[in-house]
Amino acid sequence: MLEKGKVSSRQGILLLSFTVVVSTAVLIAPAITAKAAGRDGWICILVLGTAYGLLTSLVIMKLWQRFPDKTIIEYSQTIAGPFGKLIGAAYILWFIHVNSVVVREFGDFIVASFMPETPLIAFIVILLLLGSWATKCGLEVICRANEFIFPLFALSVAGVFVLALQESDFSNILPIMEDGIKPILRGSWAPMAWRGEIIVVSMLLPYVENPDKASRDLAYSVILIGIILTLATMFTTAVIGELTEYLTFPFFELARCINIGRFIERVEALILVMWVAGVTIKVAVFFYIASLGMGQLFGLSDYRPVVLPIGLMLGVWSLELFENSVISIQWLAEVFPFYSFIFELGIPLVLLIMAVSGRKGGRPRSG
Amino acid sequence: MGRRLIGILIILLFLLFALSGCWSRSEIERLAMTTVLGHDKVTIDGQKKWLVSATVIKPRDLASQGPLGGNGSGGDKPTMLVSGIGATVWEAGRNLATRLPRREYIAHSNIVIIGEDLAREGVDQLIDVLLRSKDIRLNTWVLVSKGPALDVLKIEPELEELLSQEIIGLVQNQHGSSKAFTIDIKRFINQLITPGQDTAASCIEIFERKEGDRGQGEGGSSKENPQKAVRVVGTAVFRKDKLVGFLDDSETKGFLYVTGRAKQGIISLSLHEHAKKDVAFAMTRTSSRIIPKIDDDGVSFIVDIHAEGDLQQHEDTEPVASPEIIKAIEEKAAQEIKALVEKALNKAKKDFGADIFGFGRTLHKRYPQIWKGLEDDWREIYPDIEVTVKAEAKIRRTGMLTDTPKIH
Repeated sequence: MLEKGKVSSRQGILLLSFTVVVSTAVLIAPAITAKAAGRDGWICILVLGTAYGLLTSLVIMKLWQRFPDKTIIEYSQTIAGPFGKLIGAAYILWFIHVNSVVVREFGDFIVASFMPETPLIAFIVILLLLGSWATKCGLEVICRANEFIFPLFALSVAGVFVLALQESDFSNILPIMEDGIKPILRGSWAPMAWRGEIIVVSMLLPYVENPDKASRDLAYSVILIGIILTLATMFTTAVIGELTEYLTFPFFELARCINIGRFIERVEALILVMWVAGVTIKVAVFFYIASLGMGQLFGLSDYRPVVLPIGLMLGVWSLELFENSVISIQWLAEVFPFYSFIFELGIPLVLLIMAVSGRKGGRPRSG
Repeated sequence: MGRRLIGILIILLFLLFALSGCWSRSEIERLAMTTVLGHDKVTIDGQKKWLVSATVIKPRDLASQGPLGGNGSGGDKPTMLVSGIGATVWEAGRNLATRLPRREYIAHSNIVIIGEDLAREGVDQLIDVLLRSKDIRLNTWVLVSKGPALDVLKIEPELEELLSQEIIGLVQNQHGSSKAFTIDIKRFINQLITPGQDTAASCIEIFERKEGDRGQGEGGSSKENPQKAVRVVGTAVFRKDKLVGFLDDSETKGFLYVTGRAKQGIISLSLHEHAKKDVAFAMTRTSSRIIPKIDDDGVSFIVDIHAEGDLQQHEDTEPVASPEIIKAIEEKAAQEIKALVEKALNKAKKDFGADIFGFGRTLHKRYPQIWKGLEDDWREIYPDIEVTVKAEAKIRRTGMLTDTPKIH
């Protein structure tokens, strides 16, 4: 096996997938859902987002139970034969593409809100250097780093919620579902795609030390992500009100509004803490699974040689991806969901059906 | 060994770049911190132009503490007033640079003043200006000046060292009297874009100080006593994005009661037949609810106000410390509150046609289906809408005294 490390289910599944999904979604989901569904954005995240997340994890777990020591790159070859190589290549490309979007979002946010004169490339290069270093160190290091960052990240988010309570007016959330279900459906695509990013665990599951807990931890993670993102969107609407759908980063503005007795104010640095810490982990995870996948696809003895080439690809891709911020938001809201559904649910579901009908893989363990 | 050395050298090389500081650093001594921003529109050569003015802190003067006495030439004011003119707000703002030896830095401005003429013309273009820049915070206070905003910026502060501190102090101290409405950018713009709600802003006005106001101890100092000062009182009422008028202090009080934002303040009442105003009711907390009612005649509203407070002053020697008299005072207070609220309601409805209370918004939240049918005609319906005011006042304590001592 290319990865010799072992991680616990809590480290590798519960905490890691939380950071992977929440780090970017918390800042961008409130804006994108508010654009489509207005003050009902939180429903999109809570209902359809969670349902989709649970469905995705169910498919992943079922596949994994058939192939307990294989990643999605490996078992797609077992299931689909030579065609599986193509699927694996597509997955690697998707990992790299999504990662370059994340890298770009990271830089764009910092340039837009904190350092307008610093060129984007400075942030991208620094983030990718960090990411490639983490990737070379392997899964265990990424998980342990995340274990350290997770409390900081979670406390920052929770801190913003608690401090924003004073500024919130929850009547801004009313009336609920004024225009019926249609806007909510329209606003659900993007959050669903984000929640589906837990597909990354399909690359990590074989390295989990205590597999019996993995299913439970994955479900916990999906639900926890749902709660946090729903709260983030609700608080944003409660504090920012009708303005939410117009702002680029409403959750950031929410943090800027915090003012308790003119004593605790200007806490937006918390947002930067969680953004930098969370996105670093997210980028490292996607970077790692792309490298690992490539190693497995081409039968390399070590995945480390492909880290730098992938890093270069990521750098160039993220710089050239979007011409401006308007295109990037539009892409995230309109293209990314449908494109991601293929990889998050579409292909795994087809693989599962093929595996079941072709009786491939071991018998699913009960429980 | 060799590889290790090279690795360390590479890291050191990177540190060389990283340790020299931020890329886009702005050293504090290179910045001109603006504190108050004023927006006006002026006509130059027949063209409407934006006039943006700002007060900039002079850091040196502020650092040297002590009374700012002197020769009154204005050279030792702790701030400098600059203004720029341009076709757009940001062009005007950047034109400040022609007068500033340092880069203007607006992230510390916490007050935006809109000139009266600009406000009457419409603040629609300002919305974008106030939101798009990353340096302007959503919790910046919004005030409308009577007269040009530039004039307000010329005023010298009386108690505080900086005009911005003075205005912020005034804004934040208003809950003590509940006679001025205060609002920040976030709520100001939210109310502009919320259906069934008109916005309002604080009102700042310049007034001539009377001779008697002059500080006693100054005597014959050569300091030219500034004859003008500012006060924050009343409410600037907007209809859509245009200023339509001002509520005075007592109407503002009524307005604040409806929105549940009146916190403290004094209500003077006449309890006894022979006295004019002899009882002061000091509010400690109030709450209010707007309840929409739907019946056959259409939509009406009930404003339900609860005020709680203490007996602050009683100018008569009649006994007050009996449950019946307290009850009578409570009723008087409730009537007074009701009168204040109705005055404010009438002015906003009949004179301005501005739904600053958010009746439409409340209806929208409560009965979305009915609101849908009314939304388009709300501005026509609103002035004639029926509002019932219910007020209730409670006296909890009578201070350190029961009855007023009698003189024999």
